[in-house]
Amino acid sequence: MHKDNLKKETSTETDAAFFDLVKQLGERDFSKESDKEGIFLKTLKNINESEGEKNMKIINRVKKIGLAVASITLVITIGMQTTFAQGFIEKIIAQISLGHVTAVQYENDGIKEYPVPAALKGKLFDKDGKAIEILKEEAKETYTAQGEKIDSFEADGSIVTVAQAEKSRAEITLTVKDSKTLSDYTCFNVILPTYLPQGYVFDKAEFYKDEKGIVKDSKYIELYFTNQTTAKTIHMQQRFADEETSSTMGTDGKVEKIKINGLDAILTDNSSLDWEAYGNLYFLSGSKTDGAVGRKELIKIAESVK
Amino acid sequence: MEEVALKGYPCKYEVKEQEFAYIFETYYKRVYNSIYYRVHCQYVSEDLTSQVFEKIMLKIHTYNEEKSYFEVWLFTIVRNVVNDYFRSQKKHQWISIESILHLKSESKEPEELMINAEAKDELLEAVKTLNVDERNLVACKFGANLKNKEIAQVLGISESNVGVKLYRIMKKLKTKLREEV
Repeated sequence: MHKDNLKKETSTETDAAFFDLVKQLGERDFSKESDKEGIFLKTLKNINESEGEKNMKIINRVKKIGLAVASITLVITIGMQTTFAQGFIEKIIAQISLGHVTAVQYENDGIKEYPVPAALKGKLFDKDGKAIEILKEEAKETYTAQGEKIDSFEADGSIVTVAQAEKSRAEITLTVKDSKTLSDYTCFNVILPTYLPQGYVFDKAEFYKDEKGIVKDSKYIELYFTNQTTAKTIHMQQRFADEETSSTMGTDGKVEKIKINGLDAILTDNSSLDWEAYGNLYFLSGSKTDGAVGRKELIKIAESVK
Repeated sequence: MEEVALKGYPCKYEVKEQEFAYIFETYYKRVYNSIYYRVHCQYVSEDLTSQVFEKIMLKIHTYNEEKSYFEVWLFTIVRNVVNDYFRSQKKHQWISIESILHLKSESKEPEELMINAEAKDELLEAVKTLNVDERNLVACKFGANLKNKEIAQVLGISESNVGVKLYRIMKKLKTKLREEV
């Protein structure tokens, strides 16, 4: 190794004749004294503001809102290095890592509403058929011009209606209603919570089909517990803990480290929990219950998974 | 607010940001150093480095793998940005490099200034005496860490020419350093 390096350095006549000088010049690192992070931020800002890309920032914001509207929590991400880039964009307030799961809390930019991006103008309507021009952080239901309920939209103008989303969801997922057979589909043992808040019962499980359209030894399972009177849903995801299923989530809600049965867990925005136990990753969310299932209930449900 | 913000497939804009972060992280040091070897000023180097990365990200779709190595493409942008800078300096001569240097100094603590003054080494002073073309070569070779073959492509001269020129530069620097001792 050392020999090779030497060889490389003396590869040209010049290098050989002026070995010391070459070494000195090559080892000089002026960048050490420079403001690297500042330059990164400035450049990113300039890129954002540049022609053609000027919507980038707003797109990201809209995306957040768009996702708030979306109900699908496909966790097929894997090992994305998003945290690095995101960390520069917004100030990180807190970061909690449990090994396979990391939560990063960013500073809230304080902006609660954004104008509808150009590509979506005239395409979003409220339930009374009135065109929406401002998107608010508290996601409201949106509809197409034809009055179809929208599931999600992207800043590039693409819109997915609830009907379309359900259709494609049916294509990529397998729904199972029998809670006794769940572990037959997974590569790990699915453990259902023994406690559920009053009114909530197991509704269904979903598995992602592989390329052949079948489900076998799946690393993921989505569980839905529905309240029979209010129709609100508690969502739970269990996944086999490995590199593929590990994830990083970003939020401007509060992230907190708490204990579930003595193990570290991440409580996000008082509305969802992530923890790792028995070699599996558990995600539990009450965000679709309009606050009915909050911190206390989530912890109670989580603690009953054993 | 929404815990799923980063889950799911990254949309193309996120990819773009990741791509930028990756390229920045990979090439920052080399880009900065190659610029510094030409302008010898932290303030200007930082500004030009930012300009370079902005250009790279806005033009990255025009990069053609078959035409050139990525690094050759990248450092050609560096060369052009610095050239443009010098050209604009000629046009606006009342903003001399000296005045910018001065501007930068003001923001520093006196103590830091002392250290900076001390650190001002003879080698760097010797590099400053080189002409524009020569400094350009030093920047490519030692700042950007490019191979002679790549330097030839960036500067549009032959590879053997690069070797000959570098040899002369080294000789010049060595003489200069001896003079100073």
